[in-house]
Amino acid sequence: VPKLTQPRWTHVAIPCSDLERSIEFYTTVTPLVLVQRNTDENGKGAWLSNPGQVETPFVLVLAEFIGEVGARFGIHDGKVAPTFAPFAHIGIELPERSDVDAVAERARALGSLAWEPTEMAAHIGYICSVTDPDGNTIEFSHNQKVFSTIQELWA
Amino acid sequence: MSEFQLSQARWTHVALPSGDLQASIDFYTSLTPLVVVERFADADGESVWLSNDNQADSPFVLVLVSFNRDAGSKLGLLTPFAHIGIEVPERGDVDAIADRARAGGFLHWEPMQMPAHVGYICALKDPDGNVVEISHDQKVFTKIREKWGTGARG
Repeated sequence: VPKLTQPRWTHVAIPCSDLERSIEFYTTVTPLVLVQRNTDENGKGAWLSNPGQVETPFVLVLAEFIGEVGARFGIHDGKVAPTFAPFAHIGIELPERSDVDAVAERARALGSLAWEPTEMAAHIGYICSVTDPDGNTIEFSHNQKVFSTIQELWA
Repeated sequence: MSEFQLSQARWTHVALPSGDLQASIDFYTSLTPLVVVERFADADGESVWLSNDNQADSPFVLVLVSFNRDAGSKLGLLTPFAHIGIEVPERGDVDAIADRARAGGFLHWEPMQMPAHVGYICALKDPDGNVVEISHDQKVFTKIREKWGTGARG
């Protein structure tokens, strides 16, 4: 059995109002794929990941709580306030500039485009932003270079 | 262009605001496995990228941004349920981190046993109030390895 041998950051968890709606959104609009679902007495959840990211596992945990458990977390009538907003965001990098335009087009059609594609400062790149069904901000960027900077540093 | 170009769409970061960037960096680099990758500054403020040490194959960073206009504010957003999740290899590691966090005034939840897929956990609060969960036996790491690979390196 693969075993964790050192401390690792492996996930970010956020609540959602409707798990199925959120899974549908993330697997349609972003590169994330469904890894697994969990159900327990508190509610249900899902793990989403970049496809095949196996050497250094990292997942987005989405959780939909049943009423009284949600209430303990400040969630009333099943309506979740966005966690990542207004500046805070989930950041996705795209290989081509035109990929940003293509995502924006799809998001616009779904009514979830928040910022039209915009050229930002050099270390941010060409971006658009989309909101998930709960209003969380997802940034799509080309040339932001988190990926290439880290690879140059450590690969 | 370098050999390190991104070739497919990837989730590579989450970004959060911070009211005191240095306090946040001190917190994450002393109580979690994260290390500083880069720091940036411009007219609006400063920022940092934090990552698991040497995570090169699938880069993923926590971006903390301190805007000058928000200096000194508590800007935590990952709360009460939302959190940053860190896994540790031994149950005793949870207790050890809780001890250090308690001493620094950062302990949010004492160590406790949760249902099977959550494991043995404690939680810290970063200087802005974001919840950082430390878990043993939560098995995000092992489940992904089992599902997608056969490697056993940790």
